[in-house]
Amino acid sequence: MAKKYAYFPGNVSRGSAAEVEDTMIPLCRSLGINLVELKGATSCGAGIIKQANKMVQLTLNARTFALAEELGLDIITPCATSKGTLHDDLVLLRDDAELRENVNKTLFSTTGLKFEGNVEVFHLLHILIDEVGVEKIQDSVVNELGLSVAGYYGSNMQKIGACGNDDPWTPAYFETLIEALGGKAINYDSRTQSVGYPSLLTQEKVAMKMTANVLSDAKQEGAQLMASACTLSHSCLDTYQVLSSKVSGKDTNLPVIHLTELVAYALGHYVDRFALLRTRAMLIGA
Amino acid sequence: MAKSVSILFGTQSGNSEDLAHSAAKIAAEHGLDAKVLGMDECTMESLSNTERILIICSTWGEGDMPENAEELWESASSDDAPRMENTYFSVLSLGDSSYTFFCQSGIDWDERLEQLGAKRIANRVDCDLDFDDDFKKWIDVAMPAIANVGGESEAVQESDETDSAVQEVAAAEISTAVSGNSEELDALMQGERDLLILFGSQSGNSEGLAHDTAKKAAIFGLNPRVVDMEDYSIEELAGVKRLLIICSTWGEGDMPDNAEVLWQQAQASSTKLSVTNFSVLALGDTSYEFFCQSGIDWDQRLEQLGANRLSDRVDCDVEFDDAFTSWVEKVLPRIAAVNEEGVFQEELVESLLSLTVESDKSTSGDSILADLSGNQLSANIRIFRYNPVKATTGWDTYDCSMMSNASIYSLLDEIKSTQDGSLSFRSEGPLSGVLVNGKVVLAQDAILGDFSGNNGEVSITIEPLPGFEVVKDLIVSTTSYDNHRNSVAPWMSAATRPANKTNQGVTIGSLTIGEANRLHTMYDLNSPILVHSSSNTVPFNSNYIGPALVHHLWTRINDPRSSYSSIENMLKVLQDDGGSWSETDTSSVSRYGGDCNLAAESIIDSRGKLLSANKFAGRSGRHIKWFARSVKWSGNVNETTLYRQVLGPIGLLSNAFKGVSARMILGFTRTGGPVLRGLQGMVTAPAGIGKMPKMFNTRVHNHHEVAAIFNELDNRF
Repeated sequence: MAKKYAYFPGNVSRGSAAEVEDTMIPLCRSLGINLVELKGATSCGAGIIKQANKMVQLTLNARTFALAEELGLDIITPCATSKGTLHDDLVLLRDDAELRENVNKTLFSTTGLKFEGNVEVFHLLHILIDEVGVEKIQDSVVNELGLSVAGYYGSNMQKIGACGNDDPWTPAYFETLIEALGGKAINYDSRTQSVGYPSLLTQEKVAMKMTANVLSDAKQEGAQLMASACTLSHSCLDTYQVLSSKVSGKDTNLPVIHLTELVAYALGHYVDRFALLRTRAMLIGA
Repeated sequence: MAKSVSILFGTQSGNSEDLAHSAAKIAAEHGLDAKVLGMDECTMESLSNTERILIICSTWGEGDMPENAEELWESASSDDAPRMENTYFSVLSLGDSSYTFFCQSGIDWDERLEQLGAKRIANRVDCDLDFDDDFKKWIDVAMPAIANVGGESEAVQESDETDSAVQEVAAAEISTAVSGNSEELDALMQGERDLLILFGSQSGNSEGLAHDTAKKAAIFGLNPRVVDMEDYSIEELAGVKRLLIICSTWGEGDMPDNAEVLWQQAQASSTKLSVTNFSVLALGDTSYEFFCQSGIDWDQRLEQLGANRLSDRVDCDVEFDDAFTSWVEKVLPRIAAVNEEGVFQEELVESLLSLTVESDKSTSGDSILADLSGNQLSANIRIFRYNPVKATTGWDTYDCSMMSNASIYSLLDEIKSTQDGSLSFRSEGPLSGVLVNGKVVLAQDAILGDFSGNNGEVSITIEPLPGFEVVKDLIVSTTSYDNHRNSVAPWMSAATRPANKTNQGVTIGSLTIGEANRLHTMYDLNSPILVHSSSNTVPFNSNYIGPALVHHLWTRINDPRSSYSSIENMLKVLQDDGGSWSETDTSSVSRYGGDCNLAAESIIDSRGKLLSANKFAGRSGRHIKWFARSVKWSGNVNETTLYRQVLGPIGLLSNAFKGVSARMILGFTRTGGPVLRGLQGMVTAPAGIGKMPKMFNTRVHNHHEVAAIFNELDNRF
């Protein structure tokens, strides 16, 4: 039976990272995950809005939760930052009755909605391992990856209670998935460390050093390809790759794709893109 | 046989407990056998079978139950709480009429017991701060009434009897498990196994911990006896082989009331305690000058009297759970290895631990045993090495077998003593931090089992804390942190404020209890060094003062005792390079929870303050303002707007020379996706230079709701 979720793409996958949505939808179809558009959901705030006003971010996310509750569905997102941010705000609203009441007051007066606390937020990675299961994924593979792949988790969702049954500091979900897709999982130390994306525009040099650390670490361990579970960090790891190398002096030349692309390609979607990726990985990967 | 009455107290400051003991004395005058119990010492199941109950309960904060009553109240107020038709009761409620919810806890108990079918034999009396008269008024009515209630009941005692039974079963099991072990162990276990646990307590915490210790001691085949210091004399100590002391400190380093007499005796005594093996758990509050002084005094005095310290004293702050666990786990196997002659047989400690594991296998559901003894793990340990003389680095690998509840410190100690004496690490305290499998931990607190799988094997990598210079192996220099600390000077620079005076005319501060507690929680980081190291930014930005110092400054800023000028200076430090804005990603800090989460929240809160004070000036201010503004406009972030507003035209142009724009245009991210999308961003207004597949964000469905939320809560965007 198809598993049904309210789909929260995160606004980046509808902006500069369209490839995430390109691949998320077909891969879910292939694995029997039914995505229902969460119409009206806003940006999660990415922990940025709350720096100016915590109540604004909480109320925006309470609205998103209430929309999912109206559908009677839990939320799925392909973005680790969205997962981490929504998780934190959900826990806060559930645990603090007084805060929840205040937020609901504003929410109701502005939207007519009310957050009840009957919703969960999942990252695609955790749904794939915990719900779909490794066996089904293995059975669905059309084109085995055949590459050494470093999975990047980032720090946002790597905390107790937010990463399924995985260990926050020494996780294994991504590696399990890569192996199931016919790739070789690369274990490297910095896979749960931040690349400083929230401060990319304000602390560029530091963010570049952090980015280079992750890329070079994966490369040194033999990665031909990196797949990111975070749409935002993906930008640092890929678009800023040349700059991060200049700033740090480290070798950062490594193809980087999103987790959704990795899975979709292995399941037989976008074979042309996969062919190009394999060529790039073999030429410039480790 | 005398009728019994259970007198339950729920207390925060000790008043209810004192009144409960007074009530017990009065009960005896009425021919009742009174049992005084803290609310954390009984269950609803046992109470439901109790015929006579008197409740004395205080109220805390905003109508809350005192801590020792919370669990019982949770159980009482649940839907499946047992009926109490056979119970007669009365409630004395303590409170402070200056609070809105005066005596709420007592009111709650009174109403709930009635709902559960219990019969009220005397009306509840609500007492204010001066409670003596009200107590008398209540007890004069309630006690004769409850004494007239019919038959006999022993139910509450069952709880104690159950504990005793558990202890006896555990002791029996370990004795059985001994069969087949070494002769020394047989002899040890078959000899006298008494353990004396003395507690000196003002608020009841020490007493509670003494009983917890007794339960755990039984697992090691010991016969524990918990004794109030008030009921003990120093002469009785002569000949005691095993002694544990749990003592709190009161006021200015004073003994608690019930320990005073015994302490006077101990000071004056010349009793020789040469066969006594002891350890001390000291309870205190670091906000006082003489932190844990009573425990320190006992520790020193027992040594002076010739007793053998079996395990180092542990000093606990107000949050004592972790420290208590650490103490009891260390001391019990050691004190259990003391024979009936009073000789400590260190070689039997490991065997005793193994026995508790065997015993565990035959005892279903005994979580205490499992927590305490753990399982045997086969550990493969990879440790970072640095030799400062040769300036060489590398990794060494060791294999060893350890209990799963062993600390990382014990593991390192084991390796050092059995395999490699050259290994260097800090033993304990807030500087004992290391990086284990990518997680910063204190070596003394982190447990090996937390890093293991389910197969009885553990593979761990231990490195020095990130963000510090390495001195040798796992030892880091904290000089960089100390220098930052000196430069930002987070010291208290106090303002002149109105003060209160005691009845004796002594001037004292005027913080409210709530404010003092809040500040205490914020100031009291377990290990600032660990919080500092939790940030992924710290190793890459030597100017950054780190989350621990940002937190310290922010706490000072929020301390009402700080002077205005010092607050101004500290805000400037936070705004400047290296301050609050230097943390690139608070999620790397907050994900550790606890103190780290506190620090991450301080970073975020301080930024909120700085944004308001500086009207969103600077790149960070613009970033947040335009992020929020673009969400208000469409419901989603418009990255192009964000780039243009934060970087400005020059910043955007510089991306062209840094290789950023090239990668955007070539569409590397899309690995073969339509390059045209990237080119769109180059030519179509208002994108400017940069990748922007979508020129404008379409507004989300019902966007007016989003705008309304912003308008309602924050008009700055």
